[in-house]
Amino acid sequence: MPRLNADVSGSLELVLAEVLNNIVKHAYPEGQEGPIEVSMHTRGEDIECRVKDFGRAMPNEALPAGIAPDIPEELDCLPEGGFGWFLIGELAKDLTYTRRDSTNLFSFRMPAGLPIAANQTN
Amino acid sequence: MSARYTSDIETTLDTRMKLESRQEGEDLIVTVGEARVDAAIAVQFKDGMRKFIADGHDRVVLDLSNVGFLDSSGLGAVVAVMKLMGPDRRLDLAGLTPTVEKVFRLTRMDLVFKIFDDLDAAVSPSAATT
Repeated sequence: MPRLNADVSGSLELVLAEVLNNIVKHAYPEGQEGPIEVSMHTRGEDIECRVKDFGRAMPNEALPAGIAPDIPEELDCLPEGGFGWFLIGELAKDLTYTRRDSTNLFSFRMPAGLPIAANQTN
Repeated sequence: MSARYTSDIETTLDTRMKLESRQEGEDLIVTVGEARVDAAIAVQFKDGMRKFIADGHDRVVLDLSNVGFLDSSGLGAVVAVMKLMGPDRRLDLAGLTPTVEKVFRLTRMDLVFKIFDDLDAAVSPSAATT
């Protein structure tokens, strides 16, 4: 795996954290335990990530819309959640979700600006 | 600005949340001593901040310069603290590291908070009134 610049690694860490948080909270809720498999590969200029779990399916077996929460004028109405999938959608590309054989598979690419030449041995 | 841990940390050790506070003029400065404010610690952060804001300062500056990583749960906790303070008091932010700044910018929460480059800027005489 090539060395990533701080901006890319920060974004990658953030997206992975949000995906993993979602799995821990919703796929394996209330103390349920289960494995999570994470793999990363270079793909062209990008880092391609796959995250697999064996827990509950996403609602409707689909990705949420990932729409930015409204920022209202009133302090009391400010959102305290709902940012996770929005951040994933802003930072990652080609996000997919597949439910198959009681597993959840998320995949996404993180634009990393990797030199293509460095990947030609792949 | 070096992180100095005062007796305030004693009150938060039970939650393993490192928060240090000091008075600066009329303001309260709270420095987060954690490298990460994420889902694992968001609730402790909110609880730890609750006792600092209970002192009733009109302006609290949250120094995030030690925090290299903040996720959506951490963001939600910071927003929650501001809401706890109510509309007549201010929670300002200082010292956002690049990835933390990115989270605030993408979610447009940078428009909700007053954000200073560092603590010096946050406590300058003009900062409190702007």
